[in-house]
Amino acid sequence: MGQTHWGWLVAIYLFLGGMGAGSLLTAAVVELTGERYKHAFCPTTLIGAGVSGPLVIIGSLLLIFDLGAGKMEPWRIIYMFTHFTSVMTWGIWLLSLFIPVSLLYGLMEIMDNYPGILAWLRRFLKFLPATLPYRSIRRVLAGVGAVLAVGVAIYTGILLSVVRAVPLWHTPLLPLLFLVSAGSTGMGLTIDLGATIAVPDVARRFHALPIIHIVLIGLEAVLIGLVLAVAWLQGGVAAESARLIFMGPHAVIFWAFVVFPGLFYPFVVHAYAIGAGRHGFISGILSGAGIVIAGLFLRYLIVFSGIPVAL
Amino acid sequence: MLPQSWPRWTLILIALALAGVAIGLGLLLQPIGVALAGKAPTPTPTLHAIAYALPAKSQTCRECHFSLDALKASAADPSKAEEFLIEPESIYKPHGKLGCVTCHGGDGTVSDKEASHKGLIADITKDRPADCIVCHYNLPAEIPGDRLRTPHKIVTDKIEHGQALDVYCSDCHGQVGHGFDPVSGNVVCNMTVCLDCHEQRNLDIKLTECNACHVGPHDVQNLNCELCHTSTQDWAQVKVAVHPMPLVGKHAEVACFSCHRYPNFGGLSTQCAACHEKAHDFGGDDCASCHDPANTWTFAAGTWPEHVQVWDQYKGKHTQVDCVGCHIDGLRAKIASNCDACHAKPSSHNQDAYAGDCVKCHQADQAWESATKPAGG
Repeated sequence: MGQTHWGWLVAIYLFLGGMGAGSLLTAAVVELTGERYKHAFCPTTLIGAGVSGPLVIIGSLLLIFDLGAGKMEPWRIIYMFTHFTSVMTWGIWLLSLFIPVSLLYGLMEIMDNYPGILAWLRRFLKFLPATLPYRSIRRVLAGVGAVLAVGVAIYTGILLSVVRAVPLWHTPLLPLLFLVSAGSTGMGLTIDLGATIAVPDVARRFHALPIIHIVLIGLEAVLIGLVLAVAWLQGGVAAESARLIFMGPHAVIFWAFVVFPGLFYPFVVHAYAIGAGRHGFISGILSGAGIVIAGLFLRYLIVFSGIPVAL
Repeated sequence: MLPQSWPRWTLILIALALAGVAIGLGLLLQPIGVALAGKAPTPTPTLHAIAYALPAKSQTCRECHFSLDALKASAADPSKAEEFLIEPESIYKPHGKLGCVTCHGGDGTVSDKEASHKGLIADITKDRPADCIVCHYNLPAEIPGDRLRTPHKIVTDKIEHGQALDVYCSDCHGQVGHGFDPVSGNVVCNMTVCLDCHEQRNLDIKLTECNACHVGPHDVQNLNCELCHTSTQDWAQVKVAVHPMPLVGKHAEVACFSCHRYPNFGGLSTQCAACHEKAHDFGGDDCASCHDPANTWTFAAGTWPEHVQVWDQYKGKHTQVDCVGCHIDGLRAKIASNCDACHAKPSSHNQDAYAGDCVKCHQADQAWESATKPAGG
């Protein structure tokens, strides 16, 4: 069986961290390319900026609670800030910077939709000016947030890939896979799910959307294949890990909850959308839900199928 | 589709709720997926990974082992209670931060002595040595700072192959979590620890040669340390048995490293000029042809026969005079070669017949009296 020391809490953290980073990245791309300014209301930036901070906060709390000390002495997290040779310290700095930036970015997005919030805030924060250069501040936060989001998304993969004792994880492909998957789940949540709920013809707005989706899905499929192929060819417990995933006890989860909803179905929906110039409301929602659920199960499979080397 | 009456910000809540639903679905579907896969997996050998980060589960260990009174109160033999006392500051050291139960097992969450000591491990390096190399897998073959070879690889190879060990981590590194720590340099490990241990355990390597452990700083090949070093207490104590040039006179007094500088320990030339600056512009590079290494630099009279080439009167009694007897202003200072530069003309030589240079009648290798008187002299 795979390793048993890291369980669901870590898998969910990796999922939420990746999806939070991916959501902000999606919002930042729509913001920085100017796409959002073509429409009176852009649900993608509102959702992307609004959910990224809370998702990463929830994920980080799960991570703290996964550590034994986190439950009884949570203040011990402070120690992790100073151990600079550890990737966990890099991660904790990335998360500590990402969270306030994403929360501020989210606040700016909400204030853009509800300008009255600024007047309400000025009751308590007298130093705030009567008006704010929303656009400039938002673009700066989007830019900084996007850089940090890439760091957070890659870090979730690095966290596993530095573990030499688990050959399935110990590959530079994993951070890349998690980055692509973060972008994919971020788009799935903010566009396929969120934006489709708000604006049913969202696919008509962004003509490049299905193409971007298909590229990400294709890249993710290739990377998943590479990770498993490398592990299989490596032999030993690495091959055993790969076997667990695609033909062992996790095979149903892999094919039914990752490949079909996260790769195959969204590929068909978006390929159809490229040809038709649109996709249906239901198919859009199902595609988004499938990508998000597949993102969670992908991390579950990687975490639970990592078999440590035998000594 | 979102109803028109719903505010836009509800989209954020909906998205967060969807993320939550996805997680809920994941937790629900995972056991279904595993169950559908059917047969339980074949057990695979797994790394006996250490249960790290367990200080919080070691609370009750501290209650007794940090207090001598508490230990005495619960010990079967109070006189030995001090042996089990732990310094409180040890929990702030790297191994201490892992928590007592990580290495020692037991249960640090219960107060009952029997229950908390159930499954206790006195020395993890003997009972679960593989746990040590989970973190310490990349151990050095040499400790450069101490110029020592270590048998780490022999030990870790045996651990990895599940072979019986004849030496454990704690044999050298002591109770790493409790003070003794030769790795940090805070404790100097005496060489006799290694020698005695190898002797007592009848280990394959007898440690009779310095090279077995020590890495010499010199670039000399195939030489045993003990050929020069006579003390096991201090490397500076050297008795050179073999040296390319005889170490006599001042050479016997200087320290080895005055001449032999690391790393070019063995690359010195035996030519005097390689170390000594020549004080004069005559003579060759072999100082020893004139100077005696066993003596001072003072010239050994008559040891430079070539002097006659620059002064034809360098013969007879002149060869018995030290260089500085004539070259009183230094060996580089030129002096006049005419006789009266040194010798005063006697009063018996006042006549005109004795005018001119002495060598007309006298030669340095002849007695003064043997000269033929000139006409009119």
